[in-house]
Amino acid sequence: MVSRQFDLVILGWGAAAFSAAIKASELTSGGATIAMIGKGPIGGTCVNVGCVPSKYLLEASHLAFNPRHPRMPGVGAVGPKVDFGKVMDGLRAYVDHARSAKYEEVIRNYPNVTLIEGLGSFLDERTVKVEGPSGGEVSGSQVIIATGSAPTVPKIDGLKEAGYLTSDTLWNLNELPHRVAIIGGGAIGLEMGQALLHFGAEVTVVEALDSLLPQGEPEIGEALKKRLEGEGMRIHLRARVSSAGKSRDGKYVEVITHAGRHRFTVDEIIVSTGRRPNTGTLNLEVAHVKTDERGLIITDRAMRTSSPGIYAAGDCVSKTLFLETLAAREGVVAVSNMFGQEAEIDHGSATWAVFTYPQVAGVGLTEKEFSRKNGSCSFRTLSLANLTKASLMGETDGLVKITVDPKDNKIVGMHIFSPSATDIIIEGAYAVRHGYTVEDIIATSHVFPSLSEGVKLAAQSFIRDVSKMSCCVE
Amino acid sequence: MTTKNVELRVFGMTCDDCARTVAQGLRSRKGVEEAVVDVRTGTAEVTIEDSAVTPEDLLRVPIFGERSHYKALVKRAG
Repeated sequence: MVSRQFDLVILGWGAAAFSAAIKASELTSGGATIAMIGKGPIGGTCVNVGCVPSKYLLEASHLAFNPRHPRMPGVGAVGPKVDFGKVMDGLRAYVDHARSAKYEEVIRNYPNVTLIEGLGSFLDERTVKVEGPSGGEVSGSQVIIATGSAPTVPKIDGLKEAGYLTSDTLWNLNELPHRVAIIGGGAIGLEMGQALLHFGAEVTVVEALDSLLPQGEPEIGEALKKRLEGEGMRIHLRARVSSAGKSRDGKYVEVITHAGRHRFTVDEIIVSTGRRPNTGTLNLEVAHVKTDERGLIITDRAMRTSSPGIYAAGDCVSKTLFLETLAAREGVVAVSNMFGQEAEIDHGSATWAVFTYPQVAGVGLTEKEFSRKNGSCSFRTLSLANLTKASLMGETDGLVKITVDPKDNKIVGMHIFSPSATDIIIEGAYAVRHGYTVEDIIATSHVFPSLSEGVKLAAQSFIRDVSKMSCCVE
Repeated sequence: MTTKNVELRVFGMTCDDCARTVAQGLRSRKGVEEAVVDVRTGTAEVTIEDSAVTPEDLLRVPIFGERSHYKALVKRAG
């Protein structure tokens, strides 16, 4: 069979793949012939079943919830009329729009990029067999693997028979499930849990670990748990689901906790226990591409795999942070190196977030991570009760934690639990990336009163007791 | 001395002068024995001294630098 020959073959058509294809096109002024081989909706996880629909649902849910729970005296509670079916119609229409505007229409501007629908697998280091409508063999001078990941589902007795949703299928809902069990209290589970809770569902989260968001600071996991429980969410830590099944009035979930075994009835079960890389069908062995024990592709910081001329980017890569933004950057790094322009991925200053309300965001090392690595560290935690903007908003549950290297006061980590934390964290990203000190933050003007001023106060708490400080002391 | 033939895909060339410029740029790299550049196919056939230069080193010659109009990737190495 004759292979179609391209300069670059990209396996996958999600964020990393698009980023790589666009960068390669820019570097060659559209001269590079590029094949993007993918299956399922174009654009991959983020736009179709990830960040975009989940943030849409969260935003809508907060609009439904917040007017019912005013936080300032003199402002009465009102209950907006919510048509959940229409919310979901709006969500799906928005996803279609985003996919069209940000992926389908975008790629039409690159006539050098050929989209090939199907499942690709290696025949050798440079040739890929495509099983799909157009089929055939495709060869590339260089190859990027950017096949992303998919939700995992644990083996639980009766779960399959009971039926469940994941972050791939939740978006097909038309009616609000009134009682929901969420298996897995990570970012996805908590976001979906709070969204459904804010629409009025009873939500129970079952998490195997002993804290929420263990990748972050424990103070934030604790504060978030308290906030969500205050809103009515039931959270079982150090718990596991032993079985599930259908019951007379819905589905049942049996949970084992330190208090014993108990069973509760729900209308829907959502599984959010993690994701696995889409590498199992790639036939990586014949291409001599090595993976770790989880099936994630091992790369160096230039995104090179163990096989010369084959790069990898995105959620199929072995690392600790799995983010759309990082995937896109990795695509650019891979292509830059392919063209001899040296670039390395910087995972250390990558920002991550959980879009609950209030939001959680982080960058760099936690206190524990830095201490483990260096033997000691210095940190300060600022309660938002000390921040004028937060306290006038009635949003004092949150905190800002900054960790510094005690040798030079350079900021090595920042973690925030606050409204708009996902916007504020960028100050931490600059600080960690460029090695700013707490003095640099203090010397930089911040708007008063603002939530971002919380970062400045957290920095000031290294040099004084901020509870004994008047506004705007420098 | 062992030599290796490397084929590069070269982007940004529009005329024979471009091909000459790219060929000169490649030959300026220590360890490059010969470079034949074809503007029509957009390729460069480069003979390199194996111990002195790698195929990837060829992509880092100044003629393919960040500000250069010309870019290249390795099409075949050895």
